[in-house]
Amino acid sequence: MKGAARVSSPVMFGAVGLLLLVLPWLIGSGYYLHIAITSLVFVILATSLDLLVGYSGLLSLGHTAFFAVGAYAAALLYLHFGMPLWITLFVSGAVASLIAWLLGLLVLSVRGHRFVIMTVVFAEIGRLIAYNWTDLTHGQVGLPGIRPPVLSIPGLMHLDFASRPAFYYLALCVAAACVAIIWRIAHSPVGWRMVALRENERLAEASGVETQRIAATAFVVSAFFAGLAGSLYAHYNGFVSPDLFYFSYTTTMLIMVYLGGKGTIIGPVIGAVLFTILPEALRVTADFRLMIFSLILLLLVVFAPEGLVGLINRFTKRPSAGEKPADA
Amino acid sequence: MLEVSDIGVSFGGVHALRSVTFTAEANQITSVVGPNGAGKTTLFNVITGFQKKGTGKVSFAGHDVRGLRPSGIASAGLVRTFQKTEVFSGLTVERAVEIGTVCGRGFPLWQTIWPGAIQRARETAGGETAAILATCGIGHLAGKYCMALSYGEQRILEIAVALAARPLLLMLDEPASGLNPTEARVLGDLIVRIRSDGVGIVLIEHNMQLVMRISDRIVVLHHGEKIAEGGPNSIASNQRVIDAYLGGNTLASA
Repeated sequence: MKGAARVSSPVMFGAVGLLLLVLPWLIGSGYYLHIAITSLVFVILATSLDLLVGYSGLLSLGHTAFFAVGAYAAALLYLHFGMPLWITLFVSGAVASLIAWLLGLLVLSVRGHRFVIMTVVFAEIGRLIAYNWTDLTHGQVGLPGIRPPVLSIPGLMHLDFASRPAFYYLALCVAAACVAIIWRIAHSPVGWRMVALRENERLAEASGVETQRIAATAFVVSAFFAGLAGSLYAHYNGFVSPDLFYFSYTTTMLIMVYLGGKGTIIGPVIGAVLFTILPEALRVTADFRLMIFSLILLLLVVFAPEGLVGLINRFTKRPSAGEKPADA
Repeated sequence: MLEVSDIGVSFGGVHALRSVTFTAEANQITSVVGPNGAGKTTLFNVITGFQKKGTGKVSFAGHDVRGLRPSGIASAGLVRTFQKTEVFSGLTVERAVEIGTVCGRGFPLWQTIWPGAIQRARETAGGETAAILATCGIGHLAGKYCMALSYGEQRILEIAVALAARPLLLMLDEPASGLNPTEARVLGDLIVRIRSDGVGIVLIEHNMQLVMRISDRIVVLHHGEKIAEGGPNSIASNQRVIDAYLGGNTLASA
């Protein structure tokens, strides 16, 4: 049984990898590929949020604000200085991290509901700034005209990522790299300390974890990847607006993390893909779309409290990837 | 190893501790006893940095540790447990101890992308965890969730997690409270074993039978003041201790 699990994992991994590589041939380069790219952006957002919510136990409702900050940073840097995606990816991440660090000095001094409320307020303040600082952001009109990058080596190659399949592969590489790094952080002593913080802050501190610092690390690192995702989104979508700060994005990300399976990284990846595709797939039901989507969410909450990963583990009877007991 | 001098704490004019001075040596079990409200846990909190207010000096292994964060003090080798049971509830016993081993050990963020670094850290943690579970005699509980353990098992687990932090001096706050006599005996043997492994012990405990059996030295607190200090026999026959706290024949029967 254990041997089977060990064999099937790499096989599974290879199959999914192959599927992702040939996806543009399977679904064409139309709307479906657009959904695929969108879900890749959400993969980065959901996994980075998992570090904060799932591993560190810090429920942030402001994650979308770091995404939006990253998107605006990329837009402004591109429009004013012509910086391509290759640079804005990192600068957007850094800007979001810096803001997270400064904000963390304030909000990480509290826990529980007070932290939750402060993160909501932060996102709302971000939206108001984007809305009202019209000189910089053009307010509700937003910032159009951000282009995907062009990879050009004179005489050798010219690759324009404005082509949707090309951008798909770019997003795939970026998302894969992000998930790999987040996975490594989560499964390193850094991630273990985050789990210690989540499970019992007092005991963590008494065991030698500088809890305030590990909380800040989680906050800053998750913001970095959210900002990076924002840059990817801005260059793909070509347009940013204050709507990116909306609370509904946060809700979407949390649904992906919780219903995918928090504290597992792989769960939020599945959640991000599934909950991007599902609302689109349900378009065939026309007016009933959101009703059916909500019903599916409700059923999942009731029957898969540990998320999809927990559900899969229960059926395959493999040791849980997460750390929560089913009962006890 | 640990030198506590002239510790004073008052809450709103009430003295919880008044000019308490004592030392604890490596390779010794030093017990701190006294009636409820004598200030024992407050003393622990001051020493381990959980209580910031207060006067006096705490020096550990030659360094002044007052003003350090609790995590910093723990990393220096002065590790405590709590009076109220504290465990990593949602983790298995093995995982809890494993995580305990990396809590105070430096592993900067950038190392997570360093090839092999994580693997090495995990192997080290795994080896230490197996050794600690064996020392504490809870190897059979490795796969159980911490929150699913019995109370007595959780108290042993707390010591295991504290050992994971590689203490030079281990401070235990009423580890035997709520244990039955058999469990208390097993716990006492474990504490003696830990001392034999070279870890000093400071013990707060109400179970006098246990204290008398395993202590090398005993410090008695009463109303926030130290009223006696010495070996178990001298404490048992100390008239001030008997008058103030033990009410006559408690020690004689122990």
